[in-house]
Amino acid sequence: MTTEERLWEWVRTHLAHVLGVPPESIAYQRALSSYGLDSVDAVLMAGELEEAFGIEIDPARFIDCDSFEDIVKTLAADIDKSGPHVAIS
Amino acid sequence: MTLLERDPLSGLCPANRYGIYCELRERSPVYWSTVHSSWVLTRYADVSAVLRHPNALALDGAQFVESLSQRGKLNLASVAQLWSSISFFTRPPRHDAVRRILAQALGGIWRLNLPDLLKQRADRLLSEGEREGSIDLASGYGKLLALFVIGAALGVPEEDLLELSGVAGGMVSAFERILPSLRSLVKLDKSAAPLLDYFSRLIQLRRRSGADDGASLLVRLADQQLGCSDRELAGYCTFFFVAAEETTSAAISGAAHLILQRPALRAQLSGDLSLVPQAAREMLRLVSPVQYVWRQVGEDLRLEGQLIRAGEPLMLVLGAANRDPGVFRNPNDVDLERKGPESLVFAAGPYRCIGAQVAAFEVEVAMRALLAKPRIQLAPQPPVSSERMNIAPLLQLPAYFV
Repeated sequence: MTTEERLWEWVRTHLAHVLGVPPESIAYQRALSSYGLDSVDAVLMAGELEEAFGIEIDPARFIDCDSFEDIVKTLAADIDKSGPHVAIS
Repeated sequence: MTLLERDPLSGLCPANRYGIYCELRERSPVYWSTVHSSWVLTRYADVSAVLRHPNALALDGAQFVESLSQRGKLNLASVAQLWSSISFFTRPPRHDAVRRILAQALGGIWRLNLPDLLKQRADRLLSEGEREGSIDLASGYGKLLALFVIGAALGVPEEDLLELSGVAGGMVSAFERILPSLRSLVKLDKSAAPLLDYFSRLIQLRRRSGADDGASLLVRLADQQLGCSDRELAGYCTFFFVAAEETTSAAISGAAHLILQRPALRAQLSGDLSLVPQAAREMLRLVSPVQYVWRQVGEDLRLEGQLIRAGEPLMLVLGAANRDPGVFRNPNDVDLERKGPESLVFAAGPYRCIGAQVAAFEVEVAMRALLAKPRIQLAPQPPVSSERMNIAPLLQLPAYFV
């Protein structure tokens, strides 16, 4: 699995849990706000993602991106650049 | 809205901010920042209009932390307590009540013979430096004077001040971004808890044996008319402490830096101390200890041709507005003849800084004391500034006596 795939898998599972819907129903091309989620959700998700992947994420990025794809791709690039010390399990 | 390739605010720091502000003011006075998830306003007229807009509200930080705690099942009780005591994080009608309490408590400071006490302290710090041959005008002057005043105002024993300052240090980082990270909130909660505990103990002490200080006054106000708990009072004290220390410290050391860099101005002020209040206003305008604040407006708004929807966050860059050449001619100069509108150093409108008068007074006293020491000069080592974007006081401003 690529870093991008792992990240997206995590984000999708997390959101499915928050929204109480099956993960398959969360679309890569859509944005957080289109699921009715707000800045509180963004801060919580960014916080958990930081824990899971050992990275720093500005929660505002989830609010401002047009799609999950945008942010997941950027984060994946950051993680890949920062090297093997990043714990991805 | 401009589609800037890279958000100009992404690398903002005290060293480069005025160049960035200048470009934004000229080219993109209203733009959507991806870094801050807000509209960014840099012109005086726009910033002032939003601050004074009858429908402008502060971000509801207290509500935000409460929702975060509930939905995330987190214990952020101390941040929640502190946030609900912060006047610029609350909305009407609570805002009016919080503001009234804080203003009354702060007003009590003038009973303390503050002018003399502060002057004596400023003279003493500088004279000690003179004996030693050097002084750090940031950590050993601006910061200590700011702490002295807030300590005296609240009735904190002097021997506790530096330790409290150590705990509170860095708490203003929470005002860097519109959305704090979870990690920073958890850290903030860890700092807020001992401060709230400390001020709770102080209030209990004053309840048993009152004194002539801010904490005793708060207790009396609470009992007579406010109807708030001791824990709430501790929240107000903590807010005062955190809000006053780094901002006033930034103002005093920033002013000291500006004076010592300008020998002609220094000579002029030393020759005529009646110019000090106007000089202090100019210093405050140039330093702008709080560089930006956020607001939301309850209705659609059009600024510089850009439509801003109701509720969208606006980042008002006070530091940029205060150097807008359209309002302040030769904005980077200290101009003792300057007329025209007041700077926005303390913001404006319903959320204007409650401590404005006290802070301006502190800067004046600190300047007068400094002017009385003609042998003091800036050391060759450059000053060291905090790397924060918003409230970023000088950390070191080495000076020596010739």
